[in-house]
Amino acid sequence: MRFLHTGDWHVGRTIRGRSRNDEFVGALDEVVAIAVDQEVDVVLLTGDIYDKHVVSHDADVLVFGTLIRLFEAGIPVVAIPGNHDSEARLAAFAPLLARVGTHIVPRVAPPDAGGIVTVAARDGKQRASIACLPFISPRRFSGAAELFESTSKGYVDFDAGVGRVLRAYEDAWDDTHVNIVMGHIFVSGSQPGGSEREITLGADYAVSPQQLPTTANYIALGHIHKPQKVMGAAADTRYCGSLLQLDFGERGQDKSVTVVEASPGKPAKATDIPIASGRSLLDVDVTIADLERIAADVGDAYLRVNLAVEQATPGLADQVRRALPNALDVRLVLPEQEGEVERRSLRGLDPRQQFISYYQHAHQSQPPEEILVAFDRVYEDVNG
Amino acid sequence: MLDEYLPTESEPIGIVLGTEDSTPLAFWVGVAEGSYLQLDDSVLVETDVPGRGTVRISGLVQEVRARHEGLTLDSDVFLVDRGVLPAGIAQAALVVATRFEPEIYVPPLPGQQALRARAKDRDEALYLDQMEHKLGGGLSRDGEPIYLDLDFLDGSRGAHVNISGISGVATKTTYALFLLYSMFHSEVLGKHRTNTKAIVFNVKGEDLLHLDKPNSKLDQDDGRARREYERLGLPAGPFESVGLWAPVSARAGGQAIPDTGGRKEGVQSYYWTVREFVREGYLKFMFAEAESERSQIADMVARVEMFLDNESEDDPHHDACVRLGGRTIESFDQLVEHVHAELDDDASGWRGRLAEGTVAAFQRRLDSARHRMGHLIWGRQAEDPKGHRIDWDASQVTVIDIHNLHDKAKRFVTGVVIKKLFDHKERQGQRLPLTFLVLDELNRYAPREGWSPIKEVLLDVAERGRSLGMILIGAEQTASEVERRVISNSAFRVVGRLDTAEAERSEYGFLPAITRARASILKPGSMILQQPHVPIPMQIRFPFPSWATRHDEVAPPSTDDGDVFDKFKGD
Ligand SMILES: [Mn+2]
Repeated sequence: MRFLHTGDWHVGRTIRGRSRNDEFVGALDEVVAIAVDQEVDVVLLTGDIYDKHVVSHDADVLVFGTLIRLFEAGIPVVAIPGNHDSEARLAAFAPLLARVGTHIVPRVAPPDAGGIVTVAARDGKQRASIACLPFISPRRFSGAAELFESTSKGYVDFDAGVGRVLRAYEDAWDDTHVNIVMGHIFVSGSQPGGSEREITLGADYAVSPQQLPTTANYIALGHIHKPQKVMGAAADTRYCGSLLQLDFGERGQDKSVTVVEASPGKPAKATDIPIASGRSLLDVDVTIADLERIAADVGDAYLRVNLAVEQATPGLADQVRRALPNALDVRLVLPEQEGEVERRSLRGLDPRQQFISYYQHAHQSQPPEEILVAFDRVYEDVNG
Repeated sequence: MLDEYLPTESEPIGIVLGTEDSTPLAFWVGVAEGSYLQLDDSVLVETDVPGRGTVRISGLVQEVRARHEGLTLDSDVFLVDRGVLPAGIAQAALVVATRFEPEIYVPPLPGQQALRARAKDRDEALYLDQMEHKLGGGLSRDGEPIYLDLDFLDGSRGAHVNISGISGVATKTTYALFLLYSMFHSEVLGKHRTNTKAIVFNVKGEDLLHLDKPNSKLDQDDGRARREYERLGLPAGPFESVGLWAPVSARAGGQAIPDTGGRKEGVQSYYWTVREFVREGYLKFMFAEAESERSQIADMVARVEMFLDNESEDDPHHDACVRLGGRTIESFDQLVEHVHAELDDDASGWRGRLAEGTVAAFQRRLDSARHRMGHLIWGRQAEDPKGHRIDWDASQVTVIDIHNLHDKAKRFVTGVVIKKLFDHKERQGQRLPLTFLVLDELNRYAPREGWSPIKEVLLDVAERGRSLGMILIGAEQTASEVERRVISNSAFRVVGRLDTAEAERSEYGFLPAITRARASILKPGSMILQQPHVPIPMQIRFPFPSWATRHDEVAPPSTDDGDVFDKFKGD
């Protein structure tokens, strides 16, 4: 069976007050075209569909339009809310969207009460059991875990709790199906993309890779915007990433969706397919003299401009904005700020001096005598 | 043929002799006229023990003899032949007991009936009834399935397989692959089949680069092989999930094409980047020949690895490169030059207090290794480093070809891959799903004498792999040349044809004398299997591979398919 794994759309996201609707239209066109082209059986939409709980008309038009186009192409969608989505709103739409082929699992539910969605392949030969793990607010976590336990244990460790939920799903799987997890969670060891500012990225609410089912054919994750494979998990586990560079934390990242080929009892084969509609976000260092040349180089990218000047004079920022209409931020860099940081060569120093130099650099103070004594002792030991 | 005939009940085959001693360990059975017993057949005798009820004694035939009775002179046989002297022929079989149910160690009594054990009686003799997870391991000489107890392979009660035997008949690797095939194409792994992985090094020829194609010669010999697969409950076909990787060609002008001969299509090329080399500490695997002990050179290597990692910064412009001493290192050659420059510079801390001779030796070996494996480390020319990193997660079986590489490069690749695999498995921190590692020529990588970084990793696998779920299926011509602990940690020992002198060595002490003698006449496709449950090693054979093992076993593409010509058509 073939799956298209996408998520973290964040439809409705703006940048410094500018709409990015055109870019979303382009990117979602690409997503639909890839789904059709690759003849996928199911689209896995792993949360953060919308950017905000309160949704603009444009955003709804775009999301519903995309889901309907997939429906018309005969491709069902399984979706979960992310932390940016209003779970209540998606829950309200769920019965409506089910009529057009989009199956939303708005809350964590036991396997036999909607937590696992079963989908058949187009050819009817294979089936997928998709275990859904929507974003769980740590505040509400104990509520989700209690679904599986008769007695409340009060505070439940998030990591272990998510692990228990996942094992309940795993136990309910059928070996003859393609077994998939989709979740909106942060798995420890993955690399944040720079734009996930939510407190849920704190280590407390991380799920360790060891909690992920080892018998899954594929684990589709949302939450982190940089596409990546998660190391340390036995099953192929990936973040598909966002569709656009959503803010400057994501500059330089290539965006993609993941197409996954899987059959029962075998590992999945996952391939990233690039999404090119988004505009780049760039940091540029310029001088006034450079402006024209830079303007020709950067195309339609959104810019964060560092302008090197001798002294601050009024109107400089406007001058930059006229030359570079996509400059979102302009920062003046004055000479004294720039002070060249020369990497000091440590080569000529003896080890003790090297250590002192390191300590000064790391702690902004002189090493206390007892530390130096300890260093000398260790150094003696090492050198016999 | 026996293949066609599968009785489901044990049948009488003879009577326990009274002219030879019957003991709990071994007894002789007189074979009834019109019957026969051959080596390795299973035999069952039931005997009544006063006050304790019936004891079932099972065993395997270890020796069979036939003789004229009542004659004393060797020349008598000619008289019998001419009909001058009357004489009867007596056939007898020596049965070595494998099991007593219940455990009362008594001898069977002369005159008691001996049965050829079939079906569940045979399972009892071979302890197959006690295996919870049975992995098809071949067929016994009477054509019935032999199983390996997965619990002793997957780490729960034991782990690892070691296969010895002279080379040239490709039997060792083929048997290792048969075990993998059996595992991946049956239900024995249960739900863990999905993510169980095997990494196989292709050390000789391109034998293993066709695993994903059916064997076109499978139907020769009257379809016997297909029946054998069926008997084992296995489909007869190619491996279903395979990734093939070959080293990037040294002379392809910067193109990342695989260095293979017979097969290019579907083979991915691998290389590593300068940055990975620096960050992951791969230098040690350039110095992977065994040494008498951990030498000064090894300290030197560790030191240089540390300096490389500490002093380099990632090049922001290219994923494959680093910056060192204010300059971008764009190729492996530049990296090596940088190391030389630091070592030649008296003011540099890199050489530390190591002796002049050590530094010079290090530099010499660095250059010679660079010459042999430098083409596997890419810098700026790497366009898609991710796409050329060996991805063992995407397939059940990943074949890594090294056969065309120079010896130094072979060691480098095996060292790097095994180390990464081991670290990966260690990080997962779970035994299941398992990772299998198939490596031939263990004597080269884990030699009995000396120390090398690869040997260190292999020892780790042998000793800790059981709890980590990393299972070694190792092979070598002569077990006597391989590190003892690697061999002794193997729950399963498999022996193909051995040279007579080798068979006498203590490494094969588990083989009874008569089995050792048999080891020198084994044919390809036959092996002797010793497994933890069963007290006696058994001769087994395994079916002809149902996957192609050579280019000429791959079915030619059908010729009525016009596609290829369409490609060359103009518009
Ligand atoms: Mn998000």
